Amino acid sequence: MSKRIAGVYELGKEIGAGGGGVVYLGEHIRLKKKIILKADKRSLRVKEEKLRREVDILKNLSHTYIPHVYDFVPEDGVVYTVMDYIEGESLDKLLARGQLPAQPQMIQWACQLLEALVYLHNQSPHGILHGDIKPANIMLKPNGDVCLIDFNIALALGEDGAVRVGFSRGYASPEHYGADYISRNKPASAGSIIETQHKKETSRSTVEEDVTAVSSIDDLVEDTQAEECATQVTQTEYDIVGEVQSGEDTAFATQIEAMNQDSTQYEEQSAKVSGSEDKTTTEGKKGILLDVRSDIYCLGATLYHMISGQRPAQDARDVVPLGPEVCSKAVSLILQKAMAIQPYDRYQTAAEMLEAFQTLHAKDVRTVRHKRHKLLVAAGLTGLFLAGGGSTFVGLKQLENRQAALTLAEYSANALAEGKISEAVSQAMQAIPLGKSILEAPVTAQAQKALTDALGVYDLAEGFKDVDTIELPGAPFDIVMSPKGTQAAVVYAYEIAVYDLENCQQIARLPTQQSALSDCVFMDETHVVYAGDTGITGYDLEEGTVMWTGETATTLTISADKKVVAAVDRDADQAMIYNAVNGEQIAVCSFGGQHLSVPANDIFADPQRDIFALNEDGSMLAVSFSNGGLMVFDIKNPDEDLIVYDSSEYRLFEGGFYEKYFAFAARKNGESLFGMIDVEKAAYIGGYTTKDNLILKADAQGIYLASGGLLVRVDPDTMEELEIAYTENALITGFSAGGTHTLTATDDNAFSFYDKGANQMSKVLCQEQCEFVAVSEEYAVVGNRNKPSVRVLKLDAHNDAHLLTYDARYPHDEARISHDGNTFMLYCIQGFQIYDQKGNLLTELELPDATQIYDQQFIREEKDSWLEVTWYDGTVRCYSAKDGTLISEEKKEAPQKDLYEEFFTQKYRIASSLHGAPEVYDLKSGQKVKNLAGEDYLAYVTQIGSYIITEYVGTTQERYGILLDENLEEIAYLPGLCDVVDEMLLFDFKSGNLRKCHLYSLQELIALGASYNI
Amino acid sequence: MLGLSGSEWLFYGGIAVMAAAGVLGMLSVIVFTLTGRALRDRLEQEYGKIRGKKTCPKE
Repeated sequence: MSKRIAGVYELGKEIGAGGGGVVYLGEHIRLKKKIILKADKRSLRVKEEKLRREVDILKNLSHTYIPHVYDFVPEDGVVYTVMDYIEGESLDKLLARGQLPAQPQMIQWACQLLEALVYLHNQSPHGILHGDIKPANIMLKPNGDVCLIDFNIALALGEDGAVRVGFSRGYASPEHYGADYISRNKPASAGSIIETQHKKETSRSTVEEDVTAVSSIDDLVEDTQAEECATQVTQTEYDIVGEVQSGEDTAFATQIEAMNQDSTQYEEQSAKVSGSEDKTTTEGKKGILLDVRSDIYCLGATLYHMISGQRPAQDARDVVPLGPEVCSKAVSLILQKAMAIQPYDRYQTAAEMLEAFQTLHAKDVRTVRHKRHKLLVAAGLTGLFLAGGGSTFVGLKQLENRQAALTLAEYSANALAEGKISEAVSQAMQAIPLGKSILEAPVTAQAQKALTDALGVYDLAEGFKDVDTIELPGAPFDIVMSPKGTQAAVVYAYEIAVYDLENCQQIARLPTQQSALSDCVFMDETHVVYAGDTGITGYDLEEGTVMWTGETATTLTISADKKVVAAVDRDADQAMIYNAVNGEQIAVCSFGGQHLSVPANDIFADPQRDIFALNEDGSMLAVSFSNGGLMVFDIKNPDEDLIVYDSSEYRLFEGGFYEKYFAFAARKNGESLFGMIDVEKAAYIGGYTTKDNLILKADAQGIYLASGGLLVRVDPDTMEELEIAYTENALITGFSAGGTHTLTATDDNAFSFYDKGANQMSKVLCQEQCEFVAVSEEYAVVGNRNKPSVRVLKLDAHNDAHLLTYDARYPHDEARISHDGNTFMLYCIQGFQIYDQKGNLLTELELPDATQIYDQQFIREEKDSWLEVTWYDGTVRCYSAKDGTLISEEKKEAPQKDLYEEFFTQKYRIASSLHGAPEVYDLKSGQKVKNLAGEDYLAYVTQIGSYIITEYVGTTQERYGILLDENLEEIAYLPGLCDVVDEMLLFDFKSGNLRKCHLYSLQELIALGASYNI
Repeated sequence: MLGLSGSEWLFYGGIAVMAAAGVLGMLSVIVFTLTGRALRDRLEQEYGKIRGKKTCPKE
C-alpha cells in the first residue's frame, strides 16, 4: 500500500534519486492529478524554515513554461516538495542523440524560455534568478513547447542582485566564475563592472554596499546549499542521476532525472573551487554579483549548444561565433550578444533579448528593404497623386476663371453694343487676369478682343464713337440738343434732365407737368425754356436759377432766332406767346375752340401727332388740330391767319418753317401727304401724296423728308430733293439732320451716321429700335422709349492718326505706302494714283487692258517698292511706287485663272480660295489646323512677332483685317486695314483719308484700359 | 497639341496623373502584398512563426 503524505498526496514509486533528494511519482488524491513529490535530502540537515523559505519562493510561480510548485510538506522528518508533473524529456537528451532542432524550432523555444525568464526576473520584489539554465534543465513537452525546470539553485534577487553559487561549465556566465575571471577577460575592476551593472540597477550605491549585499545572499545560499553541495565538483555536470524508471515513466523519469541532477556545480563564494575560483574566494570580499544578464548568458550558451550541437567553451573568450552554415546571421548575432563577456555588452533584460527574437522578421534586412520599398513607392505615389490633385485643382480654377473671363468678355461686348463704353472697358479689364496667381487663367483671346474693341484703338474711321451711356430715372419721352450741340435735355416722366455731353454730367434736373407732352427748348447753350410743373419756365443752366415762369403749358416751340416761345397746355384752345428772354407775354393766339390732339393717355408717351411750330422770328405759328385742321397764325396780325385745312381726315401732322416756307406732312388711311406753302404769299407751292410713311422735319436748317429708306433735303425753291442718307433694306423711322452729319434710325434696330456726301459713316446695331436720335456737330444722342438710358456718341476725327488726305472720289481697291514712306499708291485694276506725304498727287495712270488683269501685287523691299501687275496673257509690268514709271515689262507664263493663293507664316501655311473659308495647315506636320473665320476673300497675311494679321476683301469691296494671336484666335478687328509695315498698321477710309496706328501690345491695352476710367 | 489649352492640360493631365497614381497604388498594393507574403513565408521558413511580445498566459 502506498504511503500518503499530508493526507492528500499519495506517494508512488520512486522514479529517481540524486544529490537533491529522492523523487517520487505521486498523485493528488482529490484532484486525481499526477504530481511529483521530491523528498529533499537536505531536509535531514537543513532547518525546515530554510527549506520552506526556498520553496515559498518557487510555489508562487505560475507560468506556462515553468513547472508549478504546489506545496511544501514535512512528513516524518522528510520535507516533500509537491510540484507539476512535466511530461517529456530534457533537451540534453536530444543533444545526446544528435537531434539538433531546426533554427525556427530553436527560436520558438528561445522565445518560450525568454518569456519564462521575463516572468522570473520580474517577480517581486526584485525578481528571481534561475542561475543554471542549460539543456538538461529544459524539458521538451509532447506538444513541442519547452519548460524550464530545476529551480534548486534559483535565487531570489535582492536589491543588489544575487551571488552565483554554482555553475555549469560552458553554460555558466563569466561572472559565475568570479571577479577575477571577468578581470582577466577585460581589465576592469570589479567595481567598474558593478558600476556598469548599476546602470540598470538604480538602487546601488557603492561597491562596499554591493559586497555587503552579496554577503547577505551568500548567507542564504550557504544555508540552503552548503550542506547539499558538500562534494567538490570541477566538472560541469556530474552524475548523480538516480534510478530512472523505465516504461511509461520514461519521460517522467527524465524530468526527475533532470531535477535531481545536482550535476550543477554549486559553489559558494567560499567553496572549495580550484583555480581561479579559489583565488576569487581567497580575495574574499570581492564578490561578483549575478543578475539577470547571467541568466541571459546561460540561455545564450544553451541556445548556442542547441543550434550548433557544440557545447560552448567554458571560457567565454573561446566561444566561436556561429557561422552562416549553422544559423542565420541575425540569430548568430543575438547569441553573440547574449554571450558577451561583459554583462553590459549583453542584453540587459530577458525582455530585450526576447524582443530581439520577436523582431527577427521585422528587423531582417529583407523586411527592412521591403518596407523601405513600400514606403518609397507609397511616398512616390502619394506625391504623384498630390501633384496630380494640385494640377487638377489649378487647372480647374484656371478653367473656371477662363469661363468667367469669357463671360465678362461677352458682357463687355454687349455693353459696347449698348454704347456703355466705361462698362465695356471695365468688364474687359476684369476679364484680363492680373497675373498674380497661378490659379488665374492665361489671357483669353476673347478678353483681349473685348478690351481692344471697347477701347476702339484700331477703329480709326472718322465717325461718332460711343462715349458713354447715361442712365435715366425713366424711359425718355424726347431728346433735345442745344443749338451748338454741347448739351442735351432728356425729357422723361415728369422731369427734364440736362446733361453736359462733354463729360456726360447732369447739369440740371427740372420738374415738369405730369404729362409726357411736356416739352423743353433751348434758347442757347445755357438757357432753356420748359414746361415746368408750375407753368412755362425760363431757366438759367449756368446759374441754376429760374429766370421766369408763365402759365401752365405742356407743348412748347421756340422761334429760330430763339427770342420767342409759344406754349400751349395739353387741352387748351389758345397758345401763349412769350418773350423767351424775360418771359413777358407777347400775345395770346386763340385757336377758335380747337385744340391739339391729346392722347387718351399722355402719361407714358408723347405721340407728337401735331404741328406746333414758330417761324424764324416768331411772328408765325403753325398749329394742327385734333380735327385734322391746320392753320398758320399770324401773331401780330390775326387777320392774316392762314387756314390750310379747316378740318380734314389727316392726322399725325409734322412740319415747320424754313425761311418763308412752311412745310408739312400728314397721314390718313394709308396715304401720306407732303405739302409746301409760301407763307409770305399764302400760296401752296407744291406737294405730293404717297403710300409710304413720310417723316418731315422743317426748321431753320432746312426741310428734310424721309420716305422709306431715303432721306432727302427738299429745296423749296425748286422742289428738288437732295439725298442725304439712304439705307438699304430698312425703313427710316427717325432722323436728325441739318449739320455736318446726319443721323438716322431705322426699323432694323440700327442707327447710322452719314457725312455731307450722304456716305454712310457707320451703322450701329441695337437691341431695340431707336425712336430718339439727335446729332450736332460733335455729339450724338440716341435713345428709345423702352430703355431708361441714352447713348452719347462723339465725333472722332482721329487727327492724331492722320497720314494722308487724298481725293475721295478716286476709285481704288488698295492703298500702300512705299518702302521709304515718302509716297502712297492707291490702285485698282483700272489704274493707280501716287501721292506724296503732303497729299499732293504725283502721278495718276490708267492701266492698259484693265479687264484682262489677273493680279496686282505691291512689292516692297528694303530699297525699293513697286506695283507688279500681271495680265492673263502672262504679261507682267512693274510700276515704281515713287513716281509710277514703268520699271519693267516681261512676258511670263500665263497664270491660272483661279484665285487660289497661299500664304506662309513661321508655323502655318494658309490656303485661300475665292470661295470658302481660308484653311490653315501646320507647316511641320502638314495637318490642317483650322479654318479661319469669315467667308470673305483673304487677300494678304502678315506675321508680326507672334501675331498674324489677315487682310480680307468683303463682298462689297470693303477691306478689313483681323488680328490673330499665335493660336489663330481673333484678338482684334481692324476695319479699313490696307497695309502693314513693320508694326505700323495703315487704314484707308472712303472719306479720303489714310490713317495709321501701331500694333498695341496687351500691356499697352491694359494700361489704356486702366487709365480709361480714371 | 491635341487642341488643349494650358489650363485644360493641367486639369485633364492632373486627373490622368491622379488616376495613374491610383492604379499604380493598387498595383503596388498587390505587388507588395504578394512579395510581402513571399517574404513572410521565407522568413517563417528561416525563423519560424514568431509570436508577439505578449507573454503567453498560463495554460
